[in-house]
Amino acid sequence: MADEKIDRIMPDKKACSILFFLLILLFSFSAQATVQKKLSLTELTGKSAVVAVGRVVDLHYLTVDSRVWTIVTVVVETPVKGRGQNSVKLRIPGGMQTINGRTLVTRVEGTPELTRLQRGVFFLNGKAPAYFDLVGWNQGFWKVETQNGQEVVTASSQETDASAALPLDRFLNEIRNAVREK
Amino acid sequence: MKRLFFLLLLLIPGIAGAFEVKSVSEISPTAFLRWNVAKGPIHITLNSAGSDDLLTGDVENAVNRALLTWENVTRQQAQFQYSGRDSRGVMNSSDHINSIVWEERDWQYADSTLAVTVYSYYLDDPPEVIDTDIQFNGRDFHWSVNGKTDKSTSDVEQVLMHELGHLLGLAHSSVVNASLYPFVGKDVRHKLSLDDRSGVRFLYGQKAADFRSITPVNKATYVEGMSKRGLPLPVFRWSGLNRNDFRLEFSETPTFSKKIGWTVGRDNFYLLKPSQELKLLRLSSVKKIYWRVTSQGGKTKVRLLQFKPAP
Repeated sequence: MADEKIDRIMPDKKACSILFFLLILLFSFSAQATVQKKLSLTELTGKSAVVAVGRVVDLHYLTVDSRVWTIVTVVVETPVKGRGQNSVKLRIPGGMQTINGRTLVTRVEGTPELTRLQRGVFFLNGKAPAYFDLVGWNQGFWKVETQNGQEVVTASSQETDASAALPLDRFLNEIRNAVREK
Repeated sequence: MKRLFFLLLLLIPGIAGAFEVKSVSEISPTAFLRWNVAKGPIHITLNSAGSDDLLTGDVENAVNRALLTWENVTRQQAQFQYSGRDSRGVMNSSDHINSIVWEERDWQYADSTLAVTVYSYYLDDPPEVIDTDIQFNGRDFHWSVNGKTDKSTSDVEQVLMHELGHLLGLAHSSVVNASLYPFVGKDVRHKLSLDDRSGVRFLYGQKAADFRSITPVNKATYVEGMSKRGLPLPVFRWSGLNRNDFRLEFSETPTFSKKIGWTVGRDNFYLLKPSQELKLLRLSSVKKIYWRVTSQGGKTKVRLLQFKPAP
């Protein structure tokens, strides 16, 4: 409901800047983590070898030592950090396997459920040719959507406090600033 | 600046939020993942290696306390059975052994992760959890019990309470004092919040009516408007920030000429008590109820629900 109202109200530039700053402050509030360390956008960027806007083009499952992983291929649309590459492969714990003709789904709390053709901003660590990992799992994936003709990002779940949609270009600029400061 | 203030007010309810449950979207948005408690208690096994940091007996005591905390929540049916130590209690998604394991060397996840819960289910309708394993990161963290933590250790019982919430079917909550909040503060807390208790009651509570069949007439508005993973009855949810208590009202007519209602506090959700459920069932002869939330003279949109008494 809040998102709908935000879409209808276009704040002026100054207010938008303050709002974005406040959101970043909220996002960077730090505490010890039960499941994951809570990462600010600066930390998230700093821990990532690759940050990119991309689209999921393939998902498949791999079982190694009785653990199932989802292998995700992402076509890079806009590289933001890291060496330019056309696509990246990442792994997320959990996935699907067929047991006696039935589909067994395994999930790990805190990981995003990605779908084919989904667009997002991916924060990845690791190094090709090995699989990349999402930094902070849910924290490392922000959905990209179009709302009222504007591209916006939203956090993928509760691990971030920023519940509202943020303009994609502003979000990317913040990441680029964090890269430069590093 | 007025606009900015208004925008911030709009954002705050999203931060306040409430518990979330896991739904299996492949089946339906309201196919909630839970254990079939009619089969008996959920068996929990501790890997016999325990933790390198602690006596296994101390770990067992912490495990039993955490299990008891969850099963002592009133008006819900989930129960645990601690099955003791077993070397077969390992990370395996399909062995039907719900294991608690300390991974001292081969931690597969990020070094900042304290613990994970891995859960499995078949794509059946209704979906039913068949196996869960909880893995503690013994490689990157040191562990303690009885709240005797310092900067270098983490409390087993506190973290396990969080993971057991996941095991039961709860996702992360945005309520800061909830056990299911993704991050813990400096203080060790061994109590469940109202939000945690409401969550487990939602999944395993005894109901007076068949709530699976209670669906909002305008499903899209209700589900998507309230929460990305919005919940139907018996948990009512709404948006809005309030310094005073909310009041939840029900009526057989959209004009609310004749109504019943309850003051429900400042949270943005409310779980009906069984006695209230019974009153609701008696309210409408046509199995339809209008409901709304009021506060300080303001009202939310009127929403219509349908219900069917439990057989």
